[in-house]
Amino acid sequence: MDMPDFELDTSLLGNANVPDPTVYYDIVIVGGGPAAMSAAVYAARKMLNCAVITRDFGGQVLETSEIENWLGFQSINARDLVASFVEHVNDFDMAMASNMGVAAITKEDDIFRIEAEDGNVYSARAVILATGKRHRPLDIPGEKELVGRGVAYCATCDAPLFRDKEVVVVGGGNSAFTTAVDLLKVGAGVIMVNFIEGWQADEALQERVRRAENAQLFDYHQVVRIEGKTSVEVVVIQERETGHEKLLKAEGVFVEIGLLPNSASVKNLVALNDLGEVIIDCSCRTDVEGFFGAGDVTTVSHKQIIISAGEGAKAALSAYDYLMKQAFV
Amino acid sequence: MANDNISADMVSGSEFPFLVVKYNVSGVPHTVVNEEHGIAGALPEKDFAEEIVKAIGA
Amino acid sequence: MALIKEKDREKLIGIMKIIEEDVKIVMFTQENECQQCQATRGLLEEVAALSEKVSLEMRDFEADAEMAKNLGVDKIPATLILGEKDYGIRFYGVPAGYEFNVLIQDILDVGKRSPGLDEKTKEVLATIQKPVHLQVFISPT
Repeated sequence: MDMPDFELDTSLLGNANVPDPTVYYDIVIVGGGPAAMSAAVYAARKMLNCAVITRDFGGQVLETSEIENWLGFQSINARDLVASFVEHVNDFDMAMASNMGVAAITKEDDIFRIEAEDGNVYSARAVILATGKRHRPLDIPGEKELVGRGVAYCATCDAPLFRDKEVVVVGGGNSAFTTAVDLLKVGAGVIMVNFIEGWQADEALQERVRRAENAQLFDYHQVVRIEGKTSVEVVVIQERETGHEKLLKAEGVFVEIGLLPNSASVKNLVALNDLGEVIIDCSCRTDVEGFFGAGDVTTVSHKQIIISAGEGAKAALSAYDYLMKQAFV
Repeated sequence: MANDNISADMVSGSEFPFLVVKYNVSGVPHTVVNEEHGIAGALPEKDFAEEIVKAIGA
Repeated sequence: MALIKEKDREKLIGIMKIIEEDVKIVMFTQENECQQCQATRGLLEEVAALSEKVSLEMRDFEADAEMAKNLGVDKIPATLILGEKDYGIRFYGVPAGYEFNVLIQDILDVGKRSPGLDEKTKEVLATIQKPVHLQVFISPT
């Protein structure tokens, strides 16, 4: 056993300063990933009165373990990176609510109303939406019922639980293959199922899985349903060419078929593209004055941690310009 | 701390695999209530409390 | 070699200043200590050193079997956090990674004698009239 890691992560410790529903904030930032945290730093340094409302701190960054393309570091642990972001923001002592989703955001005259899941409605003159993306579900029978009981979307979190078990990995891209590799490493048997023909991941990753003894690959197959009483027992897949069904005995299903933007709260407020992403210009402005978007939830061309951090900073500065112009500050 | 009737253990799945098997834990976090009922995943505070009440009432 | 990083140590000393009341950490280990028990003990010793209000009491699972039974401790390493009484807070296994922060938060909550829950949550919990034993399974990433 390696010496265990004891890392202090201040984002996980309770914050005394919570957002106040009676205050009109200059900016409310929705989200807790790199875009949101960067926006918070920039907004705070412009001496704006901000509040952050988020489900978690870190977002998709928490689903990886090592990051090798954050400028300045050959390799940095994901948790460390997130902790450093949150610590930086914590230095400004701004109002923050975590474990809190936002149901809807509306605009009344010049004020935005942010309806949070705890029932409170917060008010702000400007809003930065930096809610990122979530995993696309299969939307098939048995999936919802068995989430956390065999159905998983994050290998970094859950792979260790499937030692010596048979696991179906749905998807054909890099995420699916990386998940397969993680599972094979802990001694799980892997059955890959891809909806379309062929496999889309980088050849190098594909090789690592094909070479393994306990790996099977089924492309051009559809996952039809997941069965099991209290946990996953059988995964039914269908050969798309023939319609022939195969019953796979498995104790886990990892779904790696892409990501969906977390833009439901603003679908009636701002323009979204076909994928549901918030449409922004290069200053992070949307078609609604005072409403800005940053990071993976937007139409930004590439979704990367360092890009999100840059977008967050831009959004905050654009928001500041807006507030100045409106003479709100 | 909120109620004297409630005790809570954090159990490291990798150190006590026999319990992972015993309670059929296939995702974390997973909460076992009174050795019988299971609550899968991390829930918002109030929802978690309600699930516990439901589990013991059931 | 210290288990808690130097930069975290400084921060923790500051954070733990909010502890108002005494917190007693009790750890059950055994004479022939396994690696997990050793690591846990090392960590708890360092944590206890960060605040005057936090103390550590070491117990042996075999020699103190009676006490372990009374406290409902059935596996080790076991870490208990007590304040003015036993609230039923137990950590089984090494409190590493994410759990290290949970351990610290629990020490802070006990030290403030307040669990820091929403009013609505407290209302729901107040309706519980019979014993509830929660076992939260985690994987130490």
